[in-house]
Amino acid sequence: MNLTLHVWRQKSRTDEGRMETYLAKNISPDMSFLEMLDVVNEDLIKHNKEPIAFDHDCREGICGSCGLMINGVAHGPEKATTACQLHMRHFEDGAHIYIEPWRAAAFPVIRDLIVDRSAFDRIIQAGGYISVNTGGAPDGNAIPIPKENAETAMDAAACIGCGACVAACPNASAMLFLSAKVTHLANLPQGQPERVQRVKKMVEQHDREGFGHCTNIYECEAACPKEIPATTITQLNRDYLLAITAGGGPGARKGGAG
Amino acid sequence: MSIVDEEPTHRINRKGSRVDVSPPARQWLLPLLTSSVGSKILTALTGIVLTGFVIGHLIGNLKLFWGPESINSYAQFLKSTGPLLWIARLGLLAALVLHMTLAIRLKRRAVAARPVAYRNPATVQATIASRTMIWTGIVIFVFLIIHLAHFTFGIFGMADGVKYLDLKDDKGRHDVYRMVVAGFSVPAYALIYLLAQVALFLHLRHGVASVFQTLSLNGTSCRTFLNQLAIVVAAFVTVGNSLIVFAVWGGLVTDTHSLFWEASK
Repeated sequence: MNLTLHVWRQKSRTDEGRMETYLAKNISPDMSFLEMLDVVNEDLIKHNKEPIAFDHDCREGICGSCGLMINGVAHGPEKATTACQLHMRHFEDGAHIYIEPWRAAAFPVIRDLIVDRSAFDRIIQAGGYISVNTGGAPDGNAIPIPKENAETAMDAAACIGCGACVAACPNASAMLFLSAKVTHLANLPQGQPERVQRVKKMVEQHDREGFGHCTNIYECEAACPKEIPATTITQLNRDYLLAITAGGGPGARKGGAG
Repeated sequence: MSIVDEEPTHRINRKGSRVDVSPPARQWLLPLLTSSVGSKILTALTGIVLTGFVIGHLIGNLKLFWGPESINSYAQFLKSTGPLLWIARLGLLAALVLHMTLAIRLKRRAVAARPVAYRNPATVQATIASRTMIWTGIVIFVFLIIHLAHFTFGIFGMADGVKYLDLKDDKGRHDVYRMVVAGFSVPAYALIYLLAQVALFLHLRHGVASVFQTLSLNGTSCRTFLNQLAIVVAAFVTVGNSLIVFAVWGGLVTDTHSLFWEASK
């Protein structure tokens, strides 16, 4: 396959940045998107040019490091697929591919396609945790959890924090990321003691980082490589409303599941 | 933008629970007004009020098809409620101001949240309606001003040389019927009304479904249903209102006859 790439190049945080065009020649359809970029980079290095900087780590779709806006769609055209798991066979030979970094004020570009996602870390630090005593690990399954709660929590916990939801959202909102964490912990007994404070603090931090608001457009859900449903945002809205008006509502702080 | 400060706002009660002891306004009013999620909740609540008004307004308007007696007596009745009418008017105005203020502030924050646009933007599943809420909202607001000036204050437009507000029916009541017929007989005005209905359809189509999500009144299984409900509500309002304009244009509603009414002579 031969492709024409239009790639965002930016030397540093302060550099203005621009789109540049590269030819990707002799690409195997079995390569992943990142392997295709590796080939392009090898060629750039051979010609004494600066390679395209992009984030990656596990390359098996579970770490959340890679994140590219491919033809305007976060992680590219395949549903529930990270950029590293996207294969070149999904593109036509001779295609033009636009590759841009996640765009959000809260995700400043560090270099080329790499953005600083530490805003996510600060949202988690604000409340996306449970406080437990150190010591011996508790027995597995010692606390009974209804199957449905366990499933909802697990689905939400699948979030890898890649930031595709922010990139895809027209408002650059991190609501899906935030709600995934809130839903994850709100459905487990261990998450109950801090449930009311958690949602308030995490929303505060989300807003402070400069993310936008949710307008129920659901582009985030479509972009999420882990298929986190927008119903987690429903849960977030409910928890937040109850937290600020009714101290969490009936059943809060009782330590029960859900 | 922060609503948190370093003063102790909590104490431990006798049961050992942390209790928020900050003033009530700090506990719920401020987050509701300032945070992104809180602002959305208020936008949804005020949106319900405004949607309710739009539906009620249409049902009242449909009385046009039953002739002058029907709609003029209804208008007379509304005016006779006196203070209640003013409470409703002020309530609607407050809802409108809050709805628009919060929506515009949220939009400004959202614009600031993405300072550099994508060179090659694309969407996967977003509806046009969902992406244009601020614009359809502005169109509806501009139309609202025109509409109030047109029929409520009667600033422009005459029927047979008589000002809209001076039109009287045979019982001496304000003749809303003839005013509307005269109003929509002018193609330029009618066109403005029809255009506004398109904006209203798009706004309600996304807004009605959004209310359920924002107020967390939906679940996994009912998103499709709520989407369809929103389309039905939006279509009801838009088709109903447009029908009145088309009926006047098409000669179905004139000074002497309407769909379900015929002048006695």
